[in-house]
Amino acid sequence: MGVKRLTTLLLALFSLATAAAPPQRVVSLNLCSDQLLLMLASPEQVASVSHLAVEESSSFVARQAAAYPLNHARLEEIIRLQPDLVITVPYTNPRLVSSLQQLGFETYQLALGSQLPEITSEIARLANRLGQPAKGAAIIERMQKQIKDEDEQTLAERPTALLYQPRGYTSAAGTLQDEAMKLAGWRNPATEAGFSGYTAAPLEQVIEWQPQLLIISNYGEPGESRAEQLIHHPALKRVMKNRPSLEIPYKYWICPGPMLAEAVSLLRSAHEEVR
Amino acid sequence: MIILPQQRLIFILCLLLAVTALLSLLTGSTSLPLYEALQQSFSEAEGVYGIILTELRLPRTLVAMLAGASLGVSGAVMQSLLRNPLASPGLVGSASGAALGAVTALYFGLSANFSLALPLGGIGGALLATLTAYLLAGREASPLTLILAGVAVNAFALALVSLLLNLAPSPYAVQEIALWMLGSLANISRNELWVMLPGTLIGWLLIWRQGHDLDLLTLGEETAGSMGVELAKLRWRLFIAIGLIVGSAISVTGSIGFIGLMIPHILRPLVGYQPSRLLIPSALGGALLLLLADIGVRTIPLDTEIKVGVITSLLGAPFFLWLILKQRRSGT
Amino acid sequence: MSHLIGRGLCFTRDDQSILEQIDVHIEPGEMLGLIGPNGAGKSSLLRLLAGVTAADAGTLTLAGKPVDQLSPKARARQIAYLPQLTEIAWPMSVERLVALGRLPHLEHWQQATPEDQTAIEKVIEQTDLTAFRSRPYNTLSGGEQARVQLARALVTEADILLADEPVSALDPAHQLDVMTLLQAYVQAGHGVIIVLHDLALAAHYSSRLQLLHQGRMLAEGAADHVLSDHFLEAAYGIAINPTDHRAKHGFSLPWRRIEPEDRDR
Repeated sequence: MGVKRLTTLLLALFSLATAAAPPQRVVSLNLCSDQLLLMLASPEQVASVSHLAVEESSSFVARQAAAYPLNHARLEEIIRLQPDLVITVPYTNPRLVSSLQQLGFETYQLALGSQLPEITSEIARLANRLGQPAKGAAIIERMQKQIKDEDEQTLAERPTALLYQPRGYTSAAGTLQDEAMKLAGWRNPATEAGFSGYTAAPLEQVIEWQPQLLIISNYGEPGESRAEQLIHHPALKRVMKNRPSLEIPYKYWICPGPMLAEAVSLLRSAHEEVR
Repeated sequence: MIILPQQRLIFILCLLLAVTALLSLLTGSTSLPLYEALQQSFSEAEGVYGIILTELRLPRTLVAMLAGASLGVSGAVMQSLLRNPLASPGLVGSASGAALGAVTALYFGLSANFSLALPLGGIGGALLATLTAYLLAGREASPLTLILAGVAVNAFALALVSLLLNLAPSPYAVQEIALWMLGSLANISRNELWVMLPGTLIGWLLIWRQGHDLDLLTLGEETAGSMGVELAKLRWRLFIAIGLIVGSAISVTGSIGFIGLMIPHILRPLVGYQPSRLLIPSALGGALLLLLADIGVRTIPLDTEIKVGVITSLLGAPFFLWLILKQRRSGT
Repeated sequence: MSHLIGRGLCFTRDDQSILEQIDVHIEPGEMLGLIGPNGAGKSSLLRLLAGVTAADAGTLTLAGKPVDQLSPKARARQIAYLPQLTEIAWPMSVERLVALGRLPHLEHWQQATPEDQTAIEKVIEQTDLTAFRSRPYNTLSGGEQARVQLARALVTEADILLADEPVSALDPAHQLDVMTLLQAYVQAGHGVIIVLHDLALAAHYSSRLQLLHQGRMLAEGAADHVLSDHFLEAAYGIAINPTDHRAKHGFSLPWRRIEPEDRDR
């Protein structure tokens, strides 16, 4: 009997250790983790967010973020914050991550999926890690409802839409933008032409595709550059002369999260203009 | 080496250029049915192929020809003026100076309100860099002294380009460093063509008919001066002309290297080494080389187009080394 | 008649006086020999006369007209200049280099006329360059190169030719050839100012001599007068050797340096 009790106790202790107590001083190093952290954690759990989190143009939670110390993903800054959890992303500098781990800091790598199921399951995983499963579930439910609600009005014919960025980049298969377009009932000619990821699309091809909707998504404050001049290329203007274009701020779909549902709504409303 | 009669050389180069230009119109990421494209270009109806031909490939081809011709002829003029076989817009620093001026004008909004600010920036930068290298090296500098001065000016201008692009307000500026250092003709529109045209034409006019004076400089500055060449005037005129044509070209294409060095060298034996006879062939040859390089860039199957300057530098750098070896052997 | 006259010419470089109050004149049909030790200012004087550098003071007139009022091209048509050392920048052919001498007669857009062509042919023949006419300049010997340079200066057919040591790179035979050529040029009605180091050539070929020393005109006139013991000693520190019949191989040095002990005597 005694042995059994002891085992139970040990098991309980063990599972407590692996599940870990909810962290109390969380530092996020990246815009994407910043946003989910601020949405999921309770305010006193957050120790610091990255400097991009307060940028109105890229962050959905710029106002909340202003309340916290900002970091620039530098080792010294992070050590001084004495976090009990550091949230990284797959492209955080690996040298920084291994240094943190060697120094004994707990790290959590946020997965940056691009498909809706991946995004929702990652929200749930992070919510659990932060000890906020209920908050996570609520956000996921709201997202799915928003997307599904409107899914019912999905159109019979699916017109084409192309995201065209300064520098001539487009988002094809496997990107958040492609997922949002798909969910909103658009076909992406770049994906259909076999492109994938965030990739350069030659202007000639864009013109040949003749997309019915041109989506422009500005990152940050617009300035003067060769990249941005491309959007005003006379050839593009001529081909899109009688066709609508839609601007969706980049903050809607730069990171996986509930913002994507908002982007889907915006994209759906553009169907009116194509008809 | 066979010296070709001037007319025949020009005719051959023109023919090659015409064929290459046609090839350039047919090269791109989509295959273009030429007949259909031409039909669409000349009819009222808007067609995709017509737009690709007239708004993309035609401006790109024309800009390549103009910029290549400017770079080629400026190399010929510089080499003759300075009596220095290594002088060229790339090595002396005119091209990086032009890039610096253009970057300043473009990324800090000057050209948004006034479209000529871009070429003017390029022209000013090219002129300033050329004069700096020239004054650093001194008159009648040895080829290597001039190159050293050029190395310094180049390094300084390119460092400033890189710094300015980092400071520029546009989020895309930093990613465009390669464009300014290596040059690109991708996505050129007729807007750019109009922007570079005035400076280019004025510059060419300034060079027009200076052939006799450049010929006389073969005999040395002193003798040329005694034979009616007004040196100070000629120098200013040609430096301004080089600033105009190199600045106008580079402010649109970014700094494309080695055309001004290679082309006059390749053609010089064919014209019997006479500076005046080198000018028109160098313009044609420069246009031909840049057009070919740009066709190459569009043909090499890569996800993102490589910069056209990569090709000219891949050809030009070994050529430059060969020139240095040749210089070393001849002991000058 | 194009008479080139310089009066009171002064030239200073880096606060150092190179030429002081030089009077010089040349008219068609005469050859003026300009002699003097190294650094006397002979080449500087020639450069002033050629219009390559400007005098700090003094006047220079051609046929009564100030030279600086002429266009550079008009001046180049009337005054040709053959500098001492010229590095040719590009290995052009002999023929094309000689043709450059006609450019002062052409407008910026003009090609050579038949008249120019005739002049070029004549000079190429006179300077004995026919065999080399299509050879690149850099493949010629030093003497041949000097003849090309001379041909380039002669072909301008300028009234006045200023030649700076045109024979110093040549062997004795070619020296004589060049001097004969210049003499013929003078006889054809042109004026020549020639800088020479060889006093024998100077004495023999010049109609008149001018001796420069430390930027000043020391003596001027016929060879007998200018090459007298007095001026030779003052300018060069040399004395003429009496003809030495005992000299080996029949050669004797025409002059010797004056040593301090000579002076004491």
